[in-house]
Amino acid sequence: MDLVSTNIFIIRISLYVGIFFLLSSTILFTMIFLNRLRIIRKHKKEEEFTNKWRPILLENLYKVPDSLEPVPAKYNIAFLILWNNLQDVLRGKEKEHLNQLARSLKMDQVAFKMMNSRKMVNQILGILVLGNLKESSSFDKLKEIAEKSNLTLSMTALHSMAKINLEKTINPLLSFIKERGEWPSYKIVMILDEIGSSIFSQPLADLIKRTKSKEQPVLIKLMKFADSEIAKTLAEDLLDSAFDPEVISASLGLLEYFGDSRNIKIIERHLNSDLSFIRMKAVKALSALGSLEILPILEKSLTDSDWWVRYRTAQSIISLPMVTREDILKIRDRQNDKFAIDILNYVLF
Amino acid sequence: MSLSILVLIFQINYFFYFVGINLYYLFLNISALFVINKHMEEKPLFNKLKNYSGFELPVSVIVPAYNEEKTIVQTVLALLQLKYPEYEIIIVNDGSKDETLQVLIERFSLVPYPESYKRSLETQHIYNFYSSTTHPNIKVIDKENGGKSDALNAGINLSKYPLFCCIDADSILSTDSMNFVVSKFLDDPLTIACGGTIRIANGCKVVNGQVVEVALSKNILALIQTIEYLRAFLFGRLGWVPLNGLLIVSGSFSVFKKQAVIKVGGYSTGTIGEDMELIVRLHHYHRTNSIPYNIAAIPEPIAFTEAPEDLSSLRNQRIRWQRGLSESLSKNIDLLLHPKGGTVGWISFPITLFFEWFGPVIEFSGYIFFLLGYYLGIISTEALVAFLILSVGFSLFISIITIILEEISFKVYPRAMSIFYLLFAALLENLGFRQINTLWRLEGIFSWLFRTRRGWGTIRRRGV
Repeated sequence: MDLVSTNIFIIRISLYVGIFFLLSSTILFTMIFLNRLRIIRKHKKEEEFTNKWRPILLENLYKVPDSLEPVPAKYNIAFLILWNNLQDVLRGKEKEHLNQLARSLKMDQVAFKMMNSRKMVNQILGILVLGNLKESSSFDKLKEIAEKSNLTLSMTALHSMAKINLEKTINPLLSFIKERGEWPSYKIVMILDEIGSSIFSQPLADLIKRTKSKEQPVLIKLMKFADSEIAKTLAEDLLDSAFDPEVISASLGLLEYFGDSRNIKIIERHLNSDLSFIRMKAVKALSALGSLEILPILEKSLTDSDWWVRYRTAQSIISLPMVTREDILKIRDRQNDKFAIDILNYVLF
Repeated sequence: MSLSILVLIFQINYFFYFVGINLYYLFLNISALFVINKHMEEKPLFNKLKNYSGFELPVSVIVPAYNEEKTIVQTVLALLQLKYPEYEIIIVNDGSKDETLQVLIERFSLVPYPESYKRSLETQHIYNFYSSTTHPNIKVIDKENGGKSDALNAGINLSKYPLFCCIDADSILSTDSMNFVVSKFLDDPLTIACGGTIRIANGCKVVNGQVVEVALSKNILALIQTIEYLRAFLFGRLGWVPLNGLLIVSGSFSVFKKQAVIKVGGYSTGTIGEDMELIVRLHHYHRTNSIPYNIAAIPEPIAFTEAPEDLSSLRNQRIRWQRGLSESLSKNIDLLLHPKGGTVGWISFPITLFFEWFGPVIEFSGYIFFLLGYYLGIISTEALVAFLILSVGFSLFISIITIILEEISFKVYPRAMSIFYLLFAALLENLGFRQINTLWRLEGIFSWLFRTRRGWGTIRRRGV
């Protein structure tokens, strides 16, 4: 190809590609605009549907009607979203009436179909509806989804399983928690909350005892949402037997959270730990008890070799109820250790 | 070599640069599509679970302030509205010459208060610490002027929580912004930094520090910046997330793991683009030391910022950005093609260096070449028109793709006519704005080369 034809070739290619982009942009823009108009119209119609059906649902909360006009298929999603929202705010018999109403409209079948849909958004909605409906025939399918799916679907499925059958959910949930390390704790807590501490506390405590120390700290933190007596007993047992500093720290954190003065002795032992972060955790756990009994114990930690332990100790002393500035000045004046005097001065002035 | 051959070589070079940048944008678009799609799929569950679980990591929000007497109280009041269970607000008065400290003292009843201040990062001299007697989670550091980075470092030193959030004093956050960003740290414990998507506040209705009605600005410069921001955040940044190759998270709103930042020495005080430089350095440190990590960004529009509406402020901003980019890349240049550099060293760093940093040089020389060539009669009218159509057509195409990304996800601008305005801005952008922006970016490169312009920089704010 000679120079001139090469030049012409490049110019032509540029022109054609440029025109292609311009045309594509025009077509795409038209599509976007029409789609936006379609969405606005759809939202408007859905809003009209919701405005019509909200009063119908509210009217029928106390008594299930003999007959209701069917929901057109194109409004199934709008209906289920509205129905789910109501489920979230209702308690007791009204919830059951709402379920009967949904069944009479064959929404259980719609939810089953949605659960098996290829669109994840629909799947989530279907799963949530089946959970709210307490549809026991969906339990095994939900368990399968919880086992095999991604985080979002698994968690949603577990949420619904818990609503359908608490006792049957706890064991699969605990085994999933252990197996699937990618599950964030805050999402697990939401499901545990659904199950209720009276049901999950003991099985979770047993699971923690059986788990390797490396995996224990994350699970111990979940015990904050458990029954306090079971959680405290677990923490005491672990503090008696554990060697792993992370496990000790998490257990002290648990005692700090529940703050029971019966645990003073067991916490105090860890003020002598070789690790400063354990000592600091012990100081925090003691200060959470908020009783004057701990004052003489804390005073000893004012002379700790680590600045942060001394600082947290001084802060804890200051925050104790009924400890006045004069009391702290007295504590300061009876100290012989220069560091202890310094840190008290530091937090005082 | 004859002139014709030289012209042909230039034409071929520009053509291939053009093909390269197209492929780069196309790749980012496709990649961003996956990120947005995943986010939209997970959003229903997030909404369901967003009640407090008790596991949210507490956050220290650091607000560097320099001569912000007019806006600082509003900023803090807006921060107090965040729906987040545990956070502290640390305002760093960086030697303001106005009454910034005084207005804070009066509005929040500040009293001098000794604080545990661990000097993990070196900063300018601290004059005093203050604590609010009305809001226990508000603290103020009064320090000698040292620039934004120095102020942020002082804030990090004082912060007591494992995560810190850095925001600009003029950022308007949505009340659940913190939940969105922190969820990334909970979802993936390897996350060390996460940024949010920022939108333009101009044209929006703001009440009590909250955007209550989103609309487009009538100011043409702000409108063009709206489409720029959409492009930058919806695909320019999100596109890099799956590769863990994101080189910048916005300084207007970003959250970091404190220990990771302290480990790399905090914000660099010798640079203008401190937000980008920190991210590149975090990549550098973790990659070269083979430490697993993740730098994330979320597509959710969680903060709004005011864009400059006059040419002078806009010019200042763009020069600063380009200079910041130059400094960030040059300070970490050994990451480029580093054996342990991974996707950052081998993909995002070289691409950013070539297209984002060196791009203005090629584009500007292209303008000169075509205009001069046409004037001298070396380039035909057909050639000029063809390249003009190609350039405008592609730029418009990318903007349209961005609008599609916005349409399938958030639809922040609710009116149907907004799409027309955005298209109008995308068209208009090519007729002067893009060219002048290239010139400013070039100026930024020269400013970096010759070490001119420093400090906080001034942008004239109208207030929204």
